[in-house]
Amino acid sequence: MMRCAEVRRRLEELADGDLDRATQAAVRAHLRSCQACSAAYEDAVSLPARLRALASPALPPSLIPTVMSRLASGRRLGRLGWVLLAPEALLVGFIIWYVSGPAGLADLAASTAGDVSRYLAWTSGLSDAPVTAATDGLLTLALAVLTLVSAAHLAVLARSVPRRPA
Amino acid sequence: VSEADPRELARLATGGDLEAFELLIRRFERRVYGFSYHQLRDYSEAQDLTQEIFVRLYQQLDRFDSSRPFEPWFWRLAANAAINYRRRRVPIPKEIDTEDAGPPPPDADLLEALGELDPAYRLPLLLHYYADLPMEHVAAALRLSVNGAKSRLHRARALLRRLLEETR
Repeated sequence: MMRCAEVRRRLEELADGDLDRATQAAVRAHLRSCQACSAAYEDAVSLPARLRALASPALPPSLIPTVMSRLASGRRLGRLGWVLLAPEALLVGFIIWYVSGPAGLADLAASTAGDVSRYLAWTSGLSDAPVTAATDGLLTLALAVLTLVSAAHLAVLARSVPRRPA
Repeated sequence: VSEADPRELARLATGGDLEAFELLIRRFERRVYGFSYHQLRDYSEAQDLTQEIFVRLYQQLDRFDSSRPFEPWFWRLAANAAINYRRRRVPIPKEIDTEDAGPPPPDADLLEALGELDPAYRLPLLLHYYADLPMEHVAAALRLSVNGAKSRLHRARALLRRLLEETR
């Protein structure tokens, strides 16, 4: 004769018809003589139907509109992200053209060092105000604009990441 | 189109058809919202999680293999989203959220016991009985064999039955 603890472990399998014939017969024999296990078996049998009948909460009417608007705004932000790549590419192109390879980079470093020393001499009153090449001003401007556009681009990308609850 | 195969709707939505995507989520919204609520027992969080599941679905549609059934893939995604959401949130409220819920839900004892159940056991119960997924799809969603999923389900029901006995 099976013990109660063992029978209780098998009740769900019995309810689903998943026990082999011998075990099924042994469990059923126990159930006929044990009221407590028999009541537990009734619970085991009724549980799937109770789970299937679980109430569905009423749907909030804003559910789908909110999802769709999140998706639409994500798409808009995604498109804006690509648009912002155009000025960035243009600015990077200009800077590359200006620097024009390692030789240009070396020239740029040398001329920047010269400019700095001339500005230092000017601020110490040792010489007149230096004259900076117009293209150097353009390069500085291009770098400043590139920094701003990149910051705006990063902000757009950050906003396009789905919000998560705190 | 509303009766279209979810696979077809998913294929159209992957190509950027938002109307097809809306039809797709309309087909699942009730079950997903109920699934989220029974996972979290909080209406506001259930709404957050449901939205997150659908946004994630849209973002991951291109990973769906349309030669396979849609539902196991989708419910695996929903289950993972629920697991991640629960990891990030504060502990589950002990009391069922009844705010704006109208009359008390039928079978409140069962809801309470379900809330007490370990999420690893609650998930297969909700997928099989609430979301109405066949056993093969539950197994695929949980990355278990069919026999493994069946034993998990038996164990989950036994634990739930014991929790219900304790509340009597």
